[in-house]
Amino acid sequence: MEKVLGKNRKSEIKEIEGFIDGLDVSGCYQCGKCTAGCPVAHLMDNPPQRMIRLVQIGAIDEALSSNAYWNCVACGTCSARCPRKVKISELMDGLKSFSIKKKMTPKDRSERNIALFNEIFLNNIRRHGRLFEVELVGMNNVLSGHLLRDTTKAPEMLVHGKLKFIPSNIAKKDMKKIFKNTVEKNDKR
Amino acid sequence: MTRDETDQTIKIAYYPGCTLKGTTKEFGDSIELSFSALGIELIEIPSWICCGATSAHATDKNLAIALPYHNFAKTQEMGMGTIAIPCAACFQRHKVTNKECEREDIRKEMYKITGHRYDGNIRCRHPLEVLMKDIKPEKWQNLLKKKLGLKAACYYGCLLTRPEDVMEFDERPENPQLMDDFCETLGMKTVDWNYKVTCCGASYFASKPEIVLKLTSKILEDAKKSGAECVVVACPLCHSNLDMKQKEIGKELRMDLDMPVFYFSQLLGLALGIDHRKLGLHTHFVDTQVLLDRKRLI
Ligand code: SF4
Ligand code: SF4
Repeated sequence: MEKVLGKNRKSEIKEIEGFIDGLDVSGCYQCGKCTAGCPVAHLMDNPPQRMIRLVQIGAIDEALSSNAYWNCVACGTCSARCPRKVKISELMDGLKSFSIKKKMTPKDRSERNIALFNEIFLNNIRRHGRLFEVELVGMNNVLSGHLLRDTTKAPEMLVHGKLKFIPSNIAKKDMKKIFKNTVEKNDKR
Repeated sequence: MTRDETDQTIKIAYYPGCTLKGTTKEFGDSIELSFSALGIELIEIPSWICCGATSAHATDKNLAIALPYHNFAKTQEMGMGTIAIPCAACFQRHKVTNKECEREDIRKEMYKITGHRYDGNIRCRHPLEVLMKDIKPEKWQNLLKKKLGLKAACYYGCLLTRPEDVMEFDERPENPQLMDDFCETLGMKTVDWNYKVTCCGASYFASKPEIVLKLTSKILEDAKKSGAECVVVACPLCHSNLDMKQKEIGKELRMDLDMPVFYFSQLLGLALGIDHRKLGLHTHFVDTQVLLDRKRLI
């Protein structure tokens, strides 16, 4: 492994690997099975097989500036089928949280929407304990500029009593503590 | 699971998760009604919180573990040994967390983060596992009142079976049978098809709907071509995608899909003779009544 790495990149690979228990990209022999089974490979500039290669050779900047991990839907197919048991799906997740922590914003609008959605979702559950769905859809549409997305379905849901307009607001102290000791702690660092 | 010697009811802690109490109310209702008809008492964890879903584990690993950990700690406080979790997404997040909690260092870290104790000894089960692996059909089959002569494509999606070493849901993770066996117990036929475990793109339901549309259309097309009359699911996200988006997809494929999408628990409820309205079968976007009428099930 050490031979193929650019010297200056070792610490970053360590950092990324640190996010993912047991990630070892050196096992990959580039068979391509991960890419073949990935349902969104066609949307990625660097499909899973190439992402692994990039990390293997220490091309971390290329890996981080790729849109692959933003498009990854975390279905786990790649990791499940890899003959070398490389944790590809976990790497995608790791790159995502790494880039969130480094406050890197994706270039493309639709990828920014994914990042935005995650933020809105977590902010929602932090305040309410349980997901307040009406607010989630509303906020996401306002902030991402798709005002009417999915609201066309609202009348039917309303009739069937599926939309609740009052948040649960449960376990508030617990939630506050959990967020303070995880995400918010990283922010301060 | 604890069996009360005097009244023979089985008691299991219950984690409904956020959507079963809201936009997929029919999933929650049908689970609760049919389990109670089977004499299984589901006791809701009092102050359960959201599992964090994909957003948490894409953002921060500790957060992704701490949220489900809280629910395990609360279950331990209840003195219960098993949690049933119907939503495939919540189920997977809890299973992954439980696996992590086998490690003492992680439990210690989580104790620091949450302030609650969990010793790592709670079993986390999907209701399908409770019915098919723990209690076994022989014990409850005799309570069924109707044979459902439907021909179905069982759709497992990604979360029930992957990662396979954590989920241990089915020995055949690429071609699982557990839900098929369940449907056959209810008197249904199931088809062999190609998209049983292919992702529907669920987590991008709101943020990247064009991905979802593409993935979902392949699933519905294959289910239709395999001769199924309906699709059976165990995940509210899969359901939203396959049901709510079906009209749109049909237009794009120029295909009359007309595939009702059932939660496995709604079918169980029907077979147990529970009123179809109570099971929320009238609340889907794709009509279920015509098919159920034709089969004389309502
Ligand atoms: S499936 Fe595994 S070994 Fe094959 S290319 Fe992908 S990561 Fe490498
Ligand atoms: S987990 Fe991500 S990279 Fe792997 S197959 Fe699924 S979408 Fe593709």
